[in-house]
Amino acid sequence: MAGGERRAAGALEAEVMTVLQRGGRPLNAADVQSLLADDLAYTTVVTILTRMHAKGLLTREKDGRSFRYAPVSDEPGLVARRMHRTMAAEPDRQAVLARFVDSLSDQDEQLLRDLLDGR
Amino acid sequence: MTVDLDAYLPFVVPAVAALAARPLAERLPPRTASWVLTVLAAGLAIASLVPLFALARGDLFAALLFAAAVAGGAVAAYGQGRALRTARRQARDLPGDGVLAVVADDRIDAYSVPGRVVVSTGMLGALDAGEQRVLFAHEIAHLSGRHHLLRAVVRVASAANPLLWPMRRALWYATERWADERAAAAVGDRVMAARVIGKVALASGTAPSVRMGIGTTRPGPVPRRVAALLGPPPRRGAVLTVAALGLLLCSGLTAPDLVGDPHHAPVSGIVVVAGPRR
Repeated sequence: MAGGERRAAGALEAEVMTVLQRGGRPLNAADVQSLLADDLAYTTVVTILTRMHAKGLLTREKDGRSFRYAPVSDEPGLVARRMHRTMAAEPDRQAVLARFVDSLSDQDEQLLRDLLDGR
Repeated sequence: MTVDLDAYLPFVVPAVAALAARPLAERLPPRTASWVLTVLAAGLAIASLVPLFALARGDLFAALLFAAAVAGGAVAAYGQGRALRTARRQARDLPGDGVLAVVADDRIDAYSVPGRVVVSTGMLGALDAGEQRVLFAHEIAHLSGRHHLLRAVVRVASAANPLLWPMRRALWYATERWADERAAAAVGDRVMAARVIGKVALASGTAPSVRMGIGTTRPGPVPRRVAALLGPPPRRGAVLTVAALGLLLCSGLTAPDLVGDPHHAPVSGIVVVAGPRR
């Protein structure tokens, strides 16, 4: 598994996201390419934008022959949902994700009410 | 046909430890319990590998057991490492710069992943400022106590020696209790901490019970955590700790003994465990 490569892609996505957020208006791939600190090929930028759109991170609208991209407004919610999705796919998530409470069984619920009412 | 009792120790001690795991998690102060369970699991996993390794040259069955144990441990270690890396990477991408990441979500939810605490806006809205402190202190206790690493160690140990499997759940419970007591100490009120846990659990709703078996009337972890906080504060469990670590010592002392003499009875012990002796 190319962990390093995936990580690099993640870093690029973060940079593109920052550019789009600073832009304050939908940008096309050429705009993004010129605003990025890295010297990336146009096709690479298009690939990243397309992938981010496919992941649901960006919205896009047709503008002539190209697309203009903008970040999805609900970014925190999106990141959280993405995290939930990834963690749900991890077989060992129980070890790394410490939830404040687990869900209760019906029987536990009654027991808990009794415990709390006892005080 | 005499079978040396020593031969069974690599199997008997982990089985005893697994039986003792739950009582240890409930009786010992949670922090002590967490460490005792982790050290016990890691130590016993290693101690059960040593005699298998020593026998592996002359005994095909021991060699297979040894290979299976090492492979199981290695696969689990790889899985844990990957899960931790994924969680860390995801935690970095969460909104905000500090430890706390608030996510816009109406559902009542809060958890920690290595490095970050994630709380939904739904959760924040359901709690007042004092109650929020209990929640934050609980999740931050998981981070500062590095509970994910303890859990990883026990998961790897129990993958190498499946007799140790029940220790996973016991450690999981002990670390939750540890975080609960830290949260109670942070607000200086154990009853209040109990109420917050109960309130959040009740507000989060119920799920169909996943526990199997007929007549499982044992309370689940949340009612037990609340009951523990409503009861007296945990007392030092010096005797239990010494007994638990004595178990490890007992297993550790016999292991080199068996290794020293490759023709020693453990072969028969292992064969008896596996099936009829030839």
